[in-house]
Amino acid sequence: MNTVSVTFTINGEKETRQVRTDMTLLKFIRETLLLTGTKEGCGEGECGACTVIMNGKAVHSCMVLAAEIDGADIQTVESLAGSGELDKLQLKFMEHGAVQCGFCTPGMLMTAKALLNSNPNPTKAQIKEAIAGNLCRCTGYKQIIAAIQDSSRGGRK
Amino acid sequence: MEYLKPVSRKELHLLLKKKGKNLRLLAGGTDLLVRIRHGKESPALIVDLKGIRGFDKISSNKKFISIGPCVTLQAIAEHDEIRRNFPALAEASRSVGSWQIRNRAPLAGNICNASPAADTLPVLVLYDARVKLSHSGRRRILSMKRFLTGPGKSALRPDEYLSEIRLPLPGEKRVLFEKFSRRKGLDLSTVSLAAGIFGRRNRVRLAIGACAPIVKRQTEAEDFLNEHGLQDKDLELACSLLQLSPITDLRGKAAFRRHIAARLVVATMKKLREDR
Repeated sequence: MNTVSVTFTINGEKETRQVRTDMTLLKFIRETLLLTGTKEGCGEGECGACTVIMNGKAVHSCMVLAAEIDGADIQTVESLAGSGELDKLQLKFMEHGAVQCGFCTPGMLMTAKALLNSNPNPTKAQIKEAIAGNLCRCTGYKQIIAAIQDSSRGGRK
Repeated sequence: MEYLKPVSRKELHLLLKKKGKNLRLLAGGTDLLVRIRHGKESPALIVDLKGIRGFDKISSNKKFISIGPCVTLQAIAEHDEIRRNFPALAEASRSVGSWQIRNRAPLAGNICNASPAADTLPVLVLYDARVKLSHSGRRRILSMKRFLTGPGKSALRPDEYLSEIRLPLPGEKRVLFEKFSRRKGLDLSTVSLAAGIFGRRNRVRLAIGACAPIVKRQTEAEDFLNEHGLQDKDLELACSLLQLSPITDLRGKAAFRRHIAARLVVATMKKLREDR
């Protein structure tokens, strides 16, 4: 099986690894780096559960080859509480009851994080557009949108 | 499966020349990786285009805006000059997939897959976009009409790649893109439509997507409207001249697609006629 060497930053740490060319970034994150916060839903870019931030942009890790991350900066849901304290987004998700079964939550959080990084004060419509590709089967969208809005610069606290 | 990422056009040309058949070019991967996962394709070699300088750039001169093969749909949706000159292309790009997909998928991929339901195609056809196909030492520039040859089929040869998309300037603001789909986010079009009024002579242009094997201009309906005008009765008559051959699939029956296409034409032309 073919492999290539990739050097990348994962949640702030620089690493070099040999990866199989047929491995997705999702599988690499979960099974090689053992960061299992990122979830596999559909595995084909429909559900958003595997969303990570790559070079500042929200992407489906199931739709990226591990071989493609050479030189890239990757952030997974584990980066949010990297300092030991929960991120404001995570606190707001808890406060608003935006987590039911929790399977979509890591992807929702990372899409929301990418949105707030590029647009600290999004409108409700912009939030909806950003998370349109993140499916929540418990359909708790209302609470999720409220939590993201509350985490923004214009949020309550 | 081998993975290579050339860093120059020259290196890419050599790969295309030498490796030939079981090679697949990778830019966004949002279609290719699904096809590999489903076992529909198993390329021996993947050539990643994202290492070549300039491939992710949008530039312009007096004659046209030039879009590189790795420019993502999200970059197009947000690009000021494109939004100013080709607003309907920004709109159509923004309607594809989800934010995550648009952050990866390039316009060039939407074109090369040549799906009859590709959302950017009706708009590109309307704006008279050209594609540059390159090959070691040779290149050719084709209209969309010559490029698109069938559902999923194009004039692109195995040793060529799409190296540039050209949008002729000046663009036109009076163009609308409409998409009818079952849900708003992350769905393919049941019917899509681009309609516009072009130039000082106010000529109507119209193209409909997901209703025929190839996305092309509706020249008979256009001629009729240009001759008769855009009164309600003209719009209804123009609908009877639409060249459609839709299929029945999970997104809608053929007859439903015809009905929706006609309603979209009427509604969109009514919005446009205020500007005529």
